[in-house]
Amino acid sequence: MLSVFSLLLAGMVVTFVGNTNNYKQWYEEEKNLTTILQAELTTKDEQYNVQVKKIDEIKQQENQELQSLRADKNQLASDLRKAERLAQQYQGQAESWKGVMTGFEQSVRNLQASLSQTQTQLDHARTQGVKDQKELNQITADLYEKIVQLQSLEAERRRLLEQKKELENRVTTGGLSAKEIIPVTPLNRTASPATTAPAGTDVKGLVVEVQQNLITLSVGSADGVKENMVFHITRGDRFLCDVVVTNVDINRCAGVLDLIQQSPQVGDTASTEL
Amino acid sequence: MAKKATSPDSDVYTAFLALACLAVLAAAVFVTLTCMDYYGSDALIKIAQTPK
Repeated sequence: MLSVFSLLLAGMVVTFVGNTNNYKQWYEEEKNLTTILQAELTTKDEQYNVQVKKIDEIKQQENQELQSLRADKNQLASDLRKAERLAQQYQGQAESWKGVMTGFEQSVRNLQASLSQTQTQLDHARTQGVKDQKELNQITADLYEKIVQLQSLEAERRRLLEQKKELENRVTTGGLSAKEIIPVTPLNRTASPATTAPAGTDVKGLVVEVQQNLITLSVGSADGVKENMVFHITRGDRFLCDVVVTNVDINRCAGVLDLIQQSPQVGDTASTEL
Repeated sequence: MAKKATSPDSDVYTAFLALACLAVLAAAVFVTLTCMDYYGSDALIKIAQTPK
């Protein structure tokens, strides 16, 4: 019985010892692992310290930049408030100027309407003036012609009176002379219009009046000017514009501007040929 | 008194007892070798010493 128990106990001991773990080996492995981990921890600590230092430097830089940005922000906010105040001020000025401009526009419209009306009246008066001037020139020419005819008739009357008186003297003296009676007053020719300039000749004159698109020249029908005749206005050697004649008087004519290179002035030369 | 000679009834029990002793001895040797393998040759001495 004791032997059986001894065998059993020996088997149990062998089984137990065979299945036990090698704790020393585990300890050595764990110790090595701990050493490695300690070394890694040290390395990580150093890296951590380096990173912390870098982070501190970055934090300092960021703080400086943040302070700078805050200063800029404050400056910009101040500028913004100032700009807003100026904008409000300018807005108020713009509103006031807008009102003033509205008034000016209304005044300008009224002035333009008045100017247009005045221009119309002026054109009408100018046309009427040209027409009246033409009639006056015609009447003056007729008057000169009548005066000349009257002077001729007066001379004829005096000549007839002289012939009558001479005849009466002869009748009273009783002798008739075969000699023809010659009156003292010479026989005048009747008045005749001046000859016009032949066509194709150069007609030259001066600009005597300039009114916007209408111009008056110092030559008229007595110089051979006719309607639709074209004059060239020059100043020295420089061409200014053309004038198409629309109204013709005896010693003046009027026309409208054409091919305007430069506005003519009083005293510029006008000619039909350049 | 004369000495009485004794003899075993059967050699089977003796053989069984020897086998048991050999098994116990083999187990002790196995345990010793295993301990030396795991913890070194000084382990047996350190185990016997009392802890300070």
